[in-house]
Amino acid sequence: MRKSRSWILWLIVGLTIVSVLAPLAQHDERDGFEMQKFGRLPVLLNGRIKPLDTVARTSLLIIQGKQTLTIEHGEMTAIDWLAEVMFKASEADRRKIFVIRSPETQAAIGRNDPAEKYFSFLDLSSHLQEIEQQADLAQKVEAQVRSPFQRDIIKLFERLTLYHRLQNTLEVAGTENFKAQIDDLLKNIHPSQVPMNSGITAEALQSLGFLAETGYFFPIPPVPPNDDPLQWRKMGESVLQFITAGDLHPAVSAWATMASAYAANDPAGFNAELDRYSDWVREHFPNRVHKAGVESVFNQLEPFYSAMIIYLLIFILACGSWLAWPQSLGRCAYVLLVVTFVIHTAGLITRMYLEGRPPVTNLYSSAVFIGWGAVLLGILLERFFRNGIGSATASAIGFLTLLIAHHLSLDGDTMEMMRAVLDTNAWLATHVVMVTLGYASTFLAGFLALTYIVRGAFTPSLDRATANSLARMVYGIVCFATLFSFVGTILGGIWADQSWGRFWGWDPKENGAALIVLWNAIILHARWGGLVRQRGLMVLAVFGNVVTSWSWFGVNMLGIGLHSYGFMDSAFPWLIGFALSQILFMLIGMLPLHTWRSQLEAPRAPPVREMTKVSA
Amino acid sequence: MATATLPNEFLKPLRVFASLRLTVVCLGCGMLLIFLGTLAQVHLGIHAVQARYFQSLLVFWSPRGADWKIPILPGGYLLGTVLLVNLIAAHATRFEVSRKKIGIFLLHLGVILLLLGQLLTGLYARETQMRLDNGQTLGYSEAPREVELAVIDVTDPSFDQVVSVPEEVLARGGTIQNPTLPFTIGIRRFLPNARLTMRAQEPNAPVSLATTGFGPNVVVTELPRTVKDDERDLTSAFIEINGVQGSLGTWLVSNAIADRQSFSVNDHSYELIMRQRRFYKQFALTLIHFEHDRYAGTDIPKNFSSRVRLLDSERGENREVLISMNDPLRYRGYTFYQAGFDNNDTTTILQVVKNPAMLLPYIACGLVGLGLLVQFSMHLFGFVRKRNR
Amino acid sequence: MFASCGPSDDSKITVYRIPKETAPAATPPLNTAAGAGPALEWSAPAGWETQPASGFRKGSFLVKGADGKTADISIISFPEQAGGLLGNVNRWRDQLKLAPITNEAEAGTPISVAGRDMFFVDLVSAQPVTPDGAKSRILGGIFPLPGETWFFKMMGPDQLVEAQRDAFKQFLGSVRPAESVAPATADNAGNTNAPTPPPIAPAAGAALQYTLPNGWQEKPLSTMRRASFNAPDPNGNSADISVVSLPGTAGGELANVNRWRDQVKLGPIDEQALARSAEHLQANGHDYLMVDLVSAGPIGDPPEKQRIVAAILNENDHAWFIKMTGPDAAVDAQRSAFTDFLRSLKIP
Repeated sequence: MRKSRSWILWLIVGLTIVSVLAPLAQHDERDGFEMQKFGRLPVLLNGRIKPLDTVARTSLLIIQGKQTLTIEHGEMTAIDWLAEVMFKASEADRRKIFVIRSPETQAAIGRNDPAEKYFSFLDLSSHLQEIEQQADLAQKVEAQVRSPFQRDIIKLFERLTLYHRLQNTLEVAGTENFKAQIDDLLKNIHPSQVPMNSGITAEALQSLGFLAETGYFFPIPPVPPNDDPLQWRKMGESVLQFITAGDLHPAVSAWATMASAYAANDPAGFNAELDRYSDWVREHFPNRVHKAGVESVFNQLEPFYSAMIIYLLIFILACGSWLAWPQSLGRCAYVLLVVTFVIHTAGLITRMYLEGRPPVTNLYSSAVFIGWGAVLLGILLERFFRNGIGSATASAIGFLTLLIAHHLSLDGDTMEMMRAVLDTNAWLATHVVMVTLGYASTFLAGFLALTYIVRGAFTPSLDRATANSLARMVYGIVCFATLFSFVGTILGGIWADQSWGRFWGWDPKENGAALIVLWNAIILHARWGGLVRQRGLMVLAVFGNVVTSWSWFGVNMLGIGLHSYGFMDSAFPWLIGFALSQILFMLIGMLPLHTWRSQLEAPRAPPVREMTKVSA
Repeated sequence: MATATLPNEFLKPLRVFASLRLTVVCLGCGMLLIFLGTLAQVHLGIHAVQARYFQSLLVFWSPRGADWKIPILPGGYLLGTVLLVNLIAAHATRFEVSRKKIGIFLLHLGVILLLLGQLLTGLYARETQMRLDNGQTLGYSEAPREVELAVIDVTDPSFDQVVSVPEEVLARGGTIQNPTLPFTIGIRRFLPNARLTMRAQEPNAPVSLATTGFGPNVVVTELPRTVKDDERDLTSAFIEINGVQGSLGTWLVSNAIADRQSFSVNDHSYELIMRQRRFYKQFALTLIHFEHDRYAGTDIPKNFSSRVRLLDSERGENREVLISMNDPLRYRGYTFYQAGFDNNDTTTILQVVKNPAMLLPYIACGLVGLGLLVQFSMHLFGFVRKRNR
Repeated sequence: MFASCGPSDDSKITVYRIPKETAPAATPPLNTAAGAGPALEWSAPAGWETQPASGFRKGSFLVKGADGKTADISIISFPEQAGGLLGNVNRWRDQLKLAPITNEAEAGTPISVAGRDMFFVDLVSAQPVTPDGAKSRILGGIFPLPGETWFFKMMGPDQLVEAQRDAFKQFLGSVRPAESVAPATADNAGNTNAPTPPPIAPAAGAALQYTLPNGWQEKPLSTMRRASFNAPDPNGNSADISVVSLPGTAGGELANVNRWRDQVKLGPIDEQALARSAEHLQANGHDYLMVDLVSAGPIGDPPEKQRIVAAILNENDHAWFIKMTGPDAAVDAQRSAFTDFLRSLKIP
């Protein structure tokens, strides 16, 4: 590479790294409140101890579909929003965060202005009963056969419920001075087994019961030194415990003080209590606080989101290298690919640390891991062949899988607890990882074949040498795919045998894995038997994309089987579209050679000569 | 393949079966079978699909309501067998034994074992269930989807003698004679699935076949067999007991009725009951405690486990065992898995599996993995060496 | 013997000897294809915790006693008569180590539920049957319907179950045919899988019925009160009216009155004083304990005389608190409206 362009390369790499790390420099200190620090406080939700920041982000995602809130002057972060929801209900209730697009759903709340799509909780609060009624009716219909309106109204009801529960987690929404109430209780209550005899008013007792029932997350940690996740309590539960047994948990007054200070617009008081409480939890639950801190930094950096964007950039660079400056652009793409892979890997490892699990635990993480595996193999290919093809295909898969992951993350927290039968790290680490690597390599082979067909049919850039090296790549990757998917599938069978005594149960997900194994075996045998040659190999490999996307996503849409992740109707048209596009590429791959723009005379000898010895 | 050497003229016919083309066609058919079998599960349920698609020789199709059917696909057994023959034939005719082929050889051996294992499992494995309430002791497991007619001689005060007639025999109809019984059992009607209603509710229903027991008071309406995985059939039958003196009457038996019906012949007292088919073991299990952990603040199950006492007087076993998810009890050829729970966590449901071919997949997995690894790393190293040259 | 065509002995008749069975056989789960029988609904009394209905339990509840002991309520249905009334009562008797009975007439007392006969059973063990040395009691309702029989059963320590007898009877009385047939399938969407998300609309369940007095405004969304009103007066002051209900008997009448007294800066009183000063209002068939408290001087910010007028009612294991607070003048102006409101209020 010439020296003159070298600095540009390093500049691009440097800029990329800076832009990825940039969010760390931001400091969220809205109106003087230390919101960033607030977001790092650990709470328990859905069985996992996580920072408040994660609760804020996932809740806002579920309710609004985005992790930040656009307001008149700029943006509000998720944690800013959550603080407002919890402590200043009257202001939060006016934020137009509920999106209602369906005209039918609008009709259910008495609106029919197509231009008006955003509603606040206040707008909807007078229609809560109608919405609940409609959602109740819709719930009675089986999930698979619900109409779009029924799904929409259930979704809306769930979002409203979530909002309502968030509001009533730390204090009853609209409480002006929660701290004063707690102090009042401390002064006037004589703890008693029968709460009504403790001297508490009926109304206060009712509000505590309501908090205990409605609260969304568990803000009160166990009494140190106990560190059992089962001992986290909701605000209402903890105060009721005090009413019946005495001893108010220190976290109760800490949260109450923060609530009152926030409501009274007193940043100094808020920050002082926040510091005090942060120190207290750090002292007693150092590991939990450390994890929560790491998670909150992880949230802030969004490594997979940045990686997704850089992969797109790499893809453009690598494709560009086939048109101009193959050396510099190709090298730039390669270096960036390695850098992004490091980011991708760091994200993956952080997730594994936070969850204490192998990389793949649900559909979301399988998407992240397929991208990772494909990029790893792509880097290896690029090291050997140095023709930009490895970079281009790997970055394309990296981008697409992370895009899919991004959309899957819109459903809420991606680090869920594993149901009992799946709760074994040994099998998650072997079977699931193997099968997912099988998906990744089958996709890589398919995308390499797509490169062959697209470059061959639409550009003159596919010469004999490139074609032969692509054929070698596809063949090699199909071998890998066979290894991973075959061994992974059998390991899955052994897991099933260990868990419920059935090696193979013809469950849809198992069948999907078997299809990939069979298809890869077909490609190899057809190649060995001379039933297909170079282009045939490519056409078959492209179909591998269809088979893999079916077993990755399609089987989940059947809505049956032990492995199902839930019904994902919205992804269905995309899957069909993807399959059709692949079949179209296969047809193009089968067109007579003279219609292709690249001049490829039929290879005289099979390029993968050494492999054909099998059938000597 | 033109260069394939034939060590023996005798192997010639095998060449037809040894072709790679046949392999590819079989694999292709396999894919189609699995794909269609997966789709069919939506309407047929997993059990029916298994029987119809994967544990069959041919898959038939018939239009709705028609009574004829045509084969459209080879079934799992047929495909598996052809693939087996294909593989063995290929090794017999095409492959010379050499160090270079060791990977392929291992791999194919693994595949053969895998196919054989599945065939044996399909034919010989038996899955039953054991439901244990807290403190309950059971010496048998029950087939969740199969009934039996038990004719129990309760005369002897120290033991019961049971004659168990499995569903398959009942479904065949006819008359059953057993040397231990002083009478024959005539199967007047067998209903794989039926609804029972009290006659008082349906006064206009035709007169029952049953003449004695509670049968005359019950109206039986035949229903199609269920396809849902979480439902089971209520099987009923009308049976006539014929002694030397002639008919003693016709009884209705059904697994919907938990009560036994009794009669006596030659001073022996007998009881009749239709129930889930039982498989008695040489040992018994007692449920000591069932535990169901959930994740904090959720209903997501974290772990299920059953502490049971294993009692085997024959072998002098008397010990406590913990059966949990992914950690079964293996004893005397049976494996007990934690499968479910009931009654507010006071009943455990154990899946009881007896599978003589259980070890084959493990060996197959090792062979296939090793074979693939050897073969592909040989290629990979060859490839890298060539590039580096 | 019959010839078998299978490779195993699957289709052969077998003969074997087993020891006499003592306990009745385990009943397999009955989720039957034929079981399109009638579905029932019921209302659980307050204080009963809903448990996940698993297996063939149609419903399941838990009641906790003050001493941490629990009683379990289960709802089960079996097809047909499922062994008959006598057989089932004897099964329950067996669980309590009671000798079986033979006379069907002794088995249970018929009560009428949803226009049909249900048999109410009340059994208590003669000896302690659990390791903790307490006697056990079973309350049951056996409900024969066309095609199936439903069993409602509460089992637990004698003392606790005895205390819940009225609640259980009330529960049996609430059993009715379900209106819908399609089961509500759990929707595993989003993050809402924490236990029992509460309803967001206020006062879910039985809505309160009342006549709104003139000048009172319903507050839009008061999540934890059963009802909540505002009665403004022309001077810009307003009285606040709330209706709160709590499960359990309010042994806390005095405690509550004293907390209210504290709010208007009056000293506490004792039981006798409360009994002496208490007035009662008979309205709509209910007996309300009335309280009227005025602060001695101006309090609060801005300083004003504050007043609390409240009604307390203990009924059906529920305590009801209907309370009006605000500046003396505003509350005084609404006194008769408050009484009217109580007269119109239908306690569910």
